[in-house]
Amino acid sequence: MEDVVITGVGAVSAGTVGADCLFRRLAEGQSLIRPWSRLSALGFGNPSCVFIDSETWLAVDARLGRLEPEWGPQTRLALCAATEAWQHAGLGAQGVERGGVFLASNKHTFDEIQLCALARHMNWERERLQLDDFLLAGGTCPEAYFHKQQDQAALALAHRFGLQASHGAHGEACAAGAMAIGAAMQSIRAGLIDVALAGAAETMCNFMPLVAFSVVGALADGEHLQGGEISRPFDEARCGFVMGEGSAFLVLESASHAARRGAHPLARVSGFAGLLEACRITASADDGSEYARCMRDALQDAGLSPDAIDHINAHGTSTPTNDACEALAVKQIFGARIAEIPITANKSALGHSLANSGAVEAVLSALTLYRQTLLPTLNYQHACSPCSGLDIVTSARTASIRSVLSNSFGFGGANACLVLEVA
Amino acid sequence: MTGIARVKLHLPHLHCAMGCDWEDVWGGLGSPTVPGLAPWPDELMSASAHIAREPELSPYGVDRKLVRTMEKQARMALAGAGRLLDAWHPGAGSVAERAETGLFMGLPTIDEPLPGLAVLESWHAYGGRDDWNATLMRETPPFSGLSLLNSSACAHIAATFGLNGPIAAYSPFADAGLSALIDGVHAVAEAECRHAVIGAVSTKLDPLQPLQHAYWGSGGAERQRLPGEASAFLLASADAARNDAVLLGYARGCHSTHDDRGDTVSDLIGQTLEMGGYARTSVGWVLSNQPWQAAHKESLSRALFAFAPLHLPIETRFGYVGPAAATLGVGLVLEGMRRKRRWLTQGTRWEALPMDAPCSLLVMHSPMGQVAVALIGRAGL
Repeated sequence: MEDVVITGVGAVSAGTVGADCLFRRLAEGQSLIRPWSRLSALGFGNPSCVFIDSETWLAVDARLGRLEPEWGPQTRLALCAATEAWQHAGLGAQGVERGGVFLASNKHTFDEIQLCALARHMNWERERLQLDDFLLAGGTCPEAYFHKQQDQAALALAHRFGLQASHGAHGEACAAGAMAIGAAMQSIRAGLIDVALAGAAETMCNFMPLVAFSVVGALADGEHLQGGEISRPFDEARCGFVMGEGSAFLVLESASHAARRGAHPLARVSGFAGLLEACRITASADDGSEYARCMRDALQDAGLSPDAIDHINAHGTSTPTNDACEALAVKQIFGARIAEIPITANKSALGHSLANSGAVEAVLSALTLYRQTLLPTLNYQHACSPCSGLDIVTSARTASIRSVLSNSFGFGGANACLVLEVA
Repeated sequence: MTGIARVKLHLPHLHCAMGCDWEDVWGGLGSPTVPGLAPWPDELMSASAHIAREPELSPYGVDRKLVRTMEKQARMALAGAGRLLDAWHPGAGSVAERAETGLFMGLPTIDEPLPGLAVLESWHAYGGRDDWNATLMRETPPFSGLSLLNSSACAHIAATFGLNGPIAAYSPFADAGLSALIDGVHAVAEAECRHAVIGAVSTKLDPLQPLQHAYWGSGGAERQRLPGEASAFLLASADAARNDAVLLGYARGCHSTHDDRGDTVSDLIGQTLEMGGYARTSVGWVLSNQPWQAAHKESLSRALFAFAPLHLPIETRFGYVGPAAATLGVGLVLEGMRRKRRWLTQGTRWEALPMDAPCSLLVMHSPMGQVAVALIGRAGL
């Protein structure tokens, strides 16, 4: 069985292009969450999110060269993050014979602007939608309508980097990023491919997803807390998540392939579990047992006991239910030792970028291992009862870390855990 | 036997416009199906579609309120998986035995508006006097957050039937169905789970679907492409016995939409046969969906030249069913192996002929150039 190493990472988030830059900002305790006037204008009580602003888009596009009409926002972010990871891995123009793309992205729907364009083509005298007029008029270029297709970004990466052996778009909700990385790791480990670009791209900071997640009560409403204070995983005052967007990619490679070309691994991916819950459609098991089962399987896959884990990169969404369940779950796995394991929740600064969250947290976990530096969880002040007794990291600090457990738990009961170790 | 050749493929089940029983569907393949009325204006494009009947979910104890939050795709998937699981372990106590069974699904998407077209229509009926954003806020369905997520169909199956093994949900095109098959079989072969439910469902029939078809297609032919509804499931289980149906080989790739000289399909078929240890002459049946681009059609017809009399185009009977074409194709192969028959086309005439060749080949194309190929035959030959 092949060992799997990480030889390159890349990331794009709000106002930040580059994984190192992102790591540095988070280490400095910066929050990327801020109010967006566009959402205020739409009538949202909580206009705060981690959105890719126009300056970041300019920086992203500057790195891509000529933009193809079929590249939508997700594809542009994915190309930018993946290109950084590819170059970081030192692959450059080198061809890879047995390479694959494993991309995570959830379904995107019309945004409010597209809906308004659609509504303009309603013939209300005949009370029907003039679809042919909509087609002909377009409103934007014809390709724009298809920018949301999940396969676009995966295919763009496959073509750009010549990765033909395997390509697919994972869509397992908030666990999809970790699922894509886990699937890539399994394919390399089984000897099916040598190199994989694995990661995610998500652009959900627009009206329809925000409305959709608001009405199920998952998003913070902005009533008691505003801006960067809202996202506070494991804190007593947490009240929901903040939407985020961005992209993150890792180059995964068989250790033998990396060694042959003299690449220097940042970390190893040694364990993965991606499991279904047979529970409820809207929530996990209240006692954390399903999250715990997934963590246990990932540790088993890595051949590690819980004692070997030095750090947990938590899913930590800042929703009351998720954080309580995750706290109960880590206590089940690690017992009394949980008080000594530093825990970081990157969503305190990055918001929840759904499919991308598992990917960007894997990138940050790899850099944590490489730099031996723990990142902080912002806004954590007082633990609620289930979350008490955890060592939540509140400011960056150096530490000796040999292994990280990175958790991703999806809405609807798809859970994924990754184990990363020092190279 | 080693690896994937030790994983048995069995218990194919389907839900489609031709029915949900293999006797009806297999027998019906000889006669053209009459499509129903598509739910969109006929001046735009094809007004017909192969519409499946509404699946019956009450036997599975699914709450009516929950059913109302589900897309028809999710309901068809739930029904398809339910019939498979009933056939696998009928009777009490089955849920415990299903624990740690995996679920691998190909799930398509359609860019339908939320809220639906009816809301946009009524907004216009009021002359657009209502505030646009307030209208959207009010009319967005409360569970749209769930229906937005591709994995919701998986979650419904897991929660209803007690599956809690490994999961993968692939999106959104025909190759997603074969990816679900390939990775589900690998999950069993590598002992991640002892059994894996593998399935796929068709694209939602939505008035905006013709827009996508027109865009992806290379001309007038796509205007004749009939959409269809289907879900198709099968089970992959460890420890295949001699003569059980197994996945022998596969390959996945990507064909540029502009390159009509590329031999991607031929190359992938060659890789698949090599992996399975068979020659082209051993293939007795080739099933494929219809490629979208002229370049892909050229490539497929070149590749199929060696198999000319053995080809069955799945869409001719079932319509365009997206990822479900792959698992439907696997179901047809498994059913053919059981009956020792294969359906072949001679022009417009379909014939069920004896099947004595050792393996069948599936070729799946997706609109943006993805191609997946799988070889299915008997274990231990």
